[in-house]
Parts: sequence; structure tokens; C-alpha cells
Amino acid sequence: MKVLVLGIDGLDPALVFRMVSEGKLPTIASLIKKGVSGNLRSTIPPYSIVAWTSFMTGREPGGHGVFTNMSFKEKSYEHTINNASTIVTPLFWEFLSNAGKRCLIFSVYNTYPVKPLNGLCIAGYVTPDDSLEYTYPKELKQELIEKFGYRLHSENPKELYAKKQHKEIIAMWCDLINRKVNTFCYYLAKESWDFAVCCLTKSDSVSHHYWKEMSTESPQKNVMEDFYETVDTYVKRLIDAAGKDIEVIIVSDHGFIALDYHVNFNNFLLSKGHLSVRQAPLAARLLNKIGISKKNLHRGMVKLGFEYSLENISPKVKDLFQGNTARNIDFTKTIAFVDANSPEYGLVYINTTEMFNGPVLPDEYPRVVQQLKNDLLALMHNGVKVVENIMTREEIYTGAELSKAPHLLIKLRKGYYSATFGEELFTPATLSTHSGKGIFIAQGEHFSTKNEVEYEIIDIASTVLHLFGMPIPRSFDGKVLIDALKGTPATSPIQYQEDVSIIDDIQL
Amino acid sequence: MNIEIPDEISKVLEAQVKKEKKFPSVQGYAVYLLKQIAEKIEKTTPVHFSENEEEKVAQRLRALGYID
Repeated sequence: MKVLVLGIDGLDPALVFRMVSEGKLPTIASLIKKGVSGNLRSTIPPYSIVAWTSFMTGREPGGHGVFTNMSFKEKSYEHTINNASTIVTPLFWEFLSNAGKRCLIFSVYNTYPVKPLNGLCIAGYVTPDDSLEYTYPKELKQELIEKFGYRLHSENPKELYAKKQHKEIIAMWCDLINRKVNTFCYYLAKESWDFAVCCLTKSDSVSHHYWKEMSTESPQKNVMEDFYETVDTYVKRLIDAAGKDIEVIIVSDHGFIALDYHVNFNNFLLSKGHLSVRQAPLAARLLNKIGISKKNLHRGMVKLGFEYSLENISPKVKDLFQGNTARNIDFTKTIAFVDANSPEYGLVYINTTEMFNGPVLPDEYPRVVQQLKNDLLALMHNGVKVVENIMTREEIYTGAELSKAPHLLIKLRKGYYSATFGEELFTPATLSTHSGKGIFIAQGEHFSTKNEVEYEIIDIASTVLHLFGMPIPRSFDGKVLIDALKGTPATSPIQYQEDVSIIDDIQL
Repeated sequence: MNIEIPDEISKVLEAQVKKEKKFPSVQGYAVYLLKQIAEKIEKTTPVHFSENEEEKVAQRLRALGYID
């Protein structure tokens, strides 16, 4: 048996199924017609790094320890950016690799730094730079570059975006994806393998920038649909290269949704006395006094033709021109804060003694949680409630890594995005963002035929291990998608195994 | 570095060295075992990006609206 997983970052199920119903996306349509298809619930929150880590580990964030793009240093408000070494549990293909199955792992989000395995690995996004060693074996990198001009990253599109050179942006991104698809096709066809996963991540950038245009009459109205048609051709090329008699699974880590407003939660927490800020530096106060703020400085720069100059200067200098930022929160007097922007859910950290050496003591914690819930649930904008629900981390997550999670998760009304500080509490949104539903499509000898399924991204790991007749680690949160299967895998009992500790496989 | 191995452990290691005959001494066998554990620890220790690498990733996250 050979299993090929195609991961397409942000591929939205609603748009795919609509286009298929209109006779578009012929390759994906054929897989849907012959196989299993539906929605794939992402993680909470539906960040790519969190969802792909759940895909790889078969666990919810409470199990693998990646809750956002960043982690706090121990008892500190300083961050480190998460990478593969932050993941505290094994990846499901490591079980395959240890059992002698040859694996090709191409461009999966959060696989840098790369680990040795029985096969090949090309790390994906969050590898900081093309100059690093991002392949296993490391000699592979030179071959990718020489044969295919392989690149991890494209140029930042901001200048092209400011000049409204949209065709050039899409061409630049498609060129990057093409190089990757050419590379993956070559190794899928040339190598001997049992399990392969190929991820395309630039689809996320396209959607962030152009999703909203679909509902307008702008010249970019069709960018998304045209791009999805291109994705369909990539899917065909990858499946063709993989050969016959393979089980194909297409997954995305989340879908997309247009945004109307950012909710700058730290402004709200400040107004309610839950957050405190230090006085801005003297230079910033003087600039502010003579009326120079980030907004009007930006307008002035644009008039002078320096569209994104403010984005390229250091955060410390930039702080002089903007209002409050995370960098001037007075944590000695702060009860709760939002640390980073996030889709679908706002992530509130309570400044506890336990997590940060902060002022909130354990016996005060329940009262603080209740007070924050009361205040946040009452938040209104344009006559509507902005917050649908608030849950504590214990209500959402389980697992050994729970203590790293944000304390409260605020479910936002559709169209709102959780942000940190802004010039006002609500500010208009420009980019679109992630929704909590990704896509699942699977077709092959061992997949049944059904549609409108509702699965979860954590289920993929267990399902692939079961397809190979392998036992599922008991600590996996995901289940085997037995109703999606047919033939032997559908009737074979699911086997489980105990987790291995760090020294269990030491050779005596 | 000199490490004193408690008697009850060194007896177990000595017995294993005599039985397997793969190692000339208890010290060689102890180093072999510790090497494997050290490799495991190294693999599971978080690797932090350098300041320059962090800024490169942060720029991309900023472009997509995740951080300010």
C-alpha cells in the first residue's frame, strides 16, 4: 500500500464544493465523486502552525504544546517563535519510519529543524531562511536547488501590493509553488516510498490577500477561483507522479473567511482597568503632542511615495509613532492581556504568579476569570454582541502541555478578528483570515464513497497508521476514520500501543 | 569528568559486560549507554532561532497580520 497526503494550506471546503458543483476543478471533482469528502475541523485556534502540528502528531494542542506561533519563555513575557523542536510528542510518520516504511515528507508546516527518518524530508514554513540546512539528508538541498531552483520563500509582496501589481504577485507565488510541485513530482516518481506528504502553503497567502475580493466587483474578483483552478492542476500533477494504486488524501488545515473588524482587546482591557501601560517615551509623547501619529505619518509617507517604509523600520523606532503596544504594557499592574492577533478566538492570558510571576495569586484566579468573562461578554459593537462565548483552557484542552495554553479563549462573532492594541477599540480589517473548517477528500482502493462528512484534523494520523496496519499510540486524541474506509482496513480491529518514553528504545 | 557509579549499578553493568562481551570495561559500556541518552535529550531539547532568524519569521507573520 502507498498513501499520498496532499496538504493545501487554507483550502476552503465551501469554495471547493461550490466550484465543483459548477463543473470546475476536474481533478478534485473526480476524487470527490469516487471517494470520501467533507469538512475537517481545525484546531482551536485555527492557526496553521497549530493545526499542522495536530495533523502530524494526532493530538490536540494540549498534547503537543504548540498553541500559537509563539511560546513564552519560562516565567517571562518574552517570546520564542515556535518551531519543530517545540513539539513534545512524536510525529505519526516517525512510527512508520521506525517500522521500516519509507517516507517522503515535503514542505509540511513546522518541520524545521528537520529530524532524521527512513526517507527524505524537505522542511516547510517557519524555516527562517533559505540559507539554512532544511533537508534530510542535508545533501538533498543542493540537488533541489540545482535541478529545480527550489526556494522556500518568495519575496515580500508588500511593495507590489501597494503598487496594485496583483498579476505580478500571483505570478511570483505560483512560480514558487511550481518549483515545489516540480520537485515533489520528481521524487514521487523517482523514489521508492510507502508514505508521502506534500504540502503547498502559499495558498494561504493568496487567500489572506484576495479572499475578500470575491464578493466585490474589483478586477481581482476572480483571483481566488483562478488560483483554485491552478491548485487543481497541481493536484493532478502530484497524483500522476505518484503512480497507480495509491490512496490519496487531500487535507487543509483551515478554511477562509472575510473580516470586517479587528477587536483590539488590549484597548478594552485597558479601559476596564485589567491592563496597565507605562508612560510612552518622551520622544513619542512629543511627537504625539505635535500631532504626529502612526496613522498620519503613514499618510504623509504614502503621499511622498514611501508606501510601506514604516513596516521596514525597527519596532522600537516604530513605537515612537504609534500608541500603546505590547512593549509598553506595565505587567506589574496588569491582570490580563492579549498577546497576539488570532483568528476565530481571542486568546487571553491572565497574569498569574504561576505562569509569569505576575500579580494574580491562585486564590484570586476564579474571581478574575469571572470578572473578565462578565466584562468581555458585554462587549458590543454597532448594536451587536461581539463575543459569542468564552471558555477556560480547561474546558477546551487536555494534556500534559495545558499549563502553556492561554487562560481564556474568546469565541468571536463572524467577521471579527482578535487583535492586541489599535488606535480605537474596533478598527476596519483589510486582510481575510482563517476559519475553523478545512477540507477532507480521500480516494483509493481502501476508501468508501460518501460526502458531507465532518472529521477532525487530529484524525488523519490515526487513520494513516491504521491503513498501514500499525497500532495507534493511546495518547493520540484523534480517532481512526473507520466509516471512511472499506475493505480490510474497515474490518480489521484497531490496534493500540502504549506510549514510549525517552529511554524505551535504548539499545542495551 | 569523573563520575562515581554506586555499587548496585556497577554490579549490574559488570554482569552485562561479562555476559555480552561487546565492551572491554564497565566504563566503555556506561559511556555507550549515556551517549544514547544524550542523543535523545539533544533531539528533544527546543532549538531557539537566533535573533536574526526570529526577525525573518516575525516579518512574515507581521505581513499576514499575526503580530504587530
